[in-house]
Amino acid sequence: MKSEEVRALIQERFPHIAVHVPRERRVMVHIPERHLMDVLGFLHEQGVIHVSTISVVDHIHAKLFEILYHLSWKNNEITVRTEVPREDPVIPTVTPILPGALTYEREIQDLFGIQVRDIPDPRRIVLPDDWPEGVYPLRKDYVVQ
Amino acid sequence: MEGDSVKENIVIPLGPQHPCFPEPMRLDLSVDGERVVAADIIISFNHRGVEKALEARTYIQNLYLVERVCGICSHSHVTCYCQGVEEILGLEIPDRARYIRTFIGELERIQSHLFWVGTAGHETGWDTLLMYTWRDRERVNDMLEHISGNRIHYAMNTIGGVRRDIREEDIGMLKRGFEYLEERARYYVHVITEEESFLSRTVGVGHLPTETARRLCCVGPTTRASNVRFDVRAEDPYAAYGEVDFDVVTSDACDVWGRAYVKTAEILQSIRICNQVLDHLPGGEIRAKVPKAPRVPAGEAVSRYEAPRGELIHYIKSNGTNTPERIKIRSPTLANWLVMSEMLKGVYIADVPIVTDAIDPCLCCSARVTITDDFTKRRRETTLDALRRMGRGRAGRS
Repeated sequence: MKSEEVRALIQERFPHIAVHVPRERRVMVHIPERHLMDVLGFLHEQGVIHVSTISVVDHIHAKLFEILYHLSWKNNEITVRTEVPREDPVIPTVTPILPGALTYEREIQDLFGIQVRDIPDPRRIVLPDDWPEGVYPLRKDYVVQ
Repeated sequence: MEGDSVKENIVIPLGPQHPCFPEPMRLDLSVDGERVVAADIIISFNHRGVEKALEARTYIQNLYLVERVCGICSHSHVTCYCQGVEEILGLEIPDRARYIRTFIGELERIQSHLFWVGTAGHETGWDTLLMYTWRDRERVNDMLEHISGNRIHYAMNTIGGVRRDIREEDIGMLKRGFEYLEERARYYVHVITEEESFLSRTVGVGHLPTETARRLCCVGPTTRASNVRFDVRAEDPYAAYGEVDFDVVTSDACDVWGRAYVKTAEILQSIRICNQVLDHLPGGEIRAKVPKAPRVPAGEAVSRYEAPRGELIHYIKSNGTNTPERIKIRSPTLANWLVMSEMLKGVYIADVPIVTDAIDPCLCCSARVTITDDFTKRRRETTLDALRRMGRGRAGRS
């Protein structure tokens, strides 16, 4: 499927959100956090099932975490991005519709301290057992010892 | 009957150090008799902080670090990284560089798959196969060394292209190498399909239905062996993959045998790609001109690559300086943990090594398993050899 067609499909259903195609086979969707489940739910209805990964960028000066869901669908890598405030970073779990996201949700909880609401398995995944609570190594204010 | 209903399963911890695991990891296997009913995977033993370290280094320094994310698919990581940085820089790399990247990538896939076929032979008590495939893998490593000067970390890539050329006088040697490897790969496909002792250990073992593979976002040969046609080289062509012919190998076996078949058959496809690259290698430069310490304008790129173990993805965000703002790396093995616990459900304890092996591991050097009895709280240690003997005994009975 052409990226422009993917863009049109999403734009038709959600006329007010920003969708752009930086190059062929890449689609970027920028949404407020409150629409996250609606947009992912819509994409899932279209057949999106493969979550490549979830990335987080720490915008320390803007006091935001940017969260990016990378989804692979019909030759396109669709990136759905949203922001949450740095003081209270909470997002809903997407595992009810995209169960393969579990590993990555656990990973961003460990490394960025983003709270994933209702996550089915909240245990640590990559950090060791003796890593101190409340210390998140990939945040920009974490200084390498 | 009531007594039975309160029976709890016994939990067997396997690892963190175990020869069939790529990194230190622990499997907590809940077993009922000889069967695994549930598997919990704990991988938090080896977080190295590579992503954090990448933010503190320049784009050129990162080439060296990214290459060392993995020892077997080093070229995969560094190609994926370079593609992303080049995309942000808006840099078109020369055609010859794209072809050479493809060539090295496929040689890497051949050596990685031969490596795996050997370990699969080892885990099923068939060490002759290990000796054969690792001998042939030496031939691939020699070819890689001849081109790049290195056997494992080839250091072929740089931002803007590749660092070493394939010389005209080497093509004959490489072609002869592929003739030999093709004959061997055909033999391995034959032997894996026909050899009774291998079939009895792998057919129907570690079942992963198509639907589960798709739902849990499985990647690489593991998902293709469950009949999901997902290969980044075909789906999102990079380097020269849009210009060469190859088939995406799949299997509807959905078991360890299917995974073995897909990997051996993929060696033949890789040889096919390599031969096409050698026949149609474009002339010209091997790298574009890039400043020694490039400042990368603010931007972002999502770069994908089909590593030997499956889809590899790098998300790169730049901030206008010579160090990146953020690099997220998702290696294929991380994507396959979720399905591994599914594959282990219902297998015999003796089949656990080959099932975990089937998502493609590296080999480390410990051979101890502790069995804890939940009722008596007694622990006893067993060796991997004893586990293998149990497996061979079962194969002999069937």
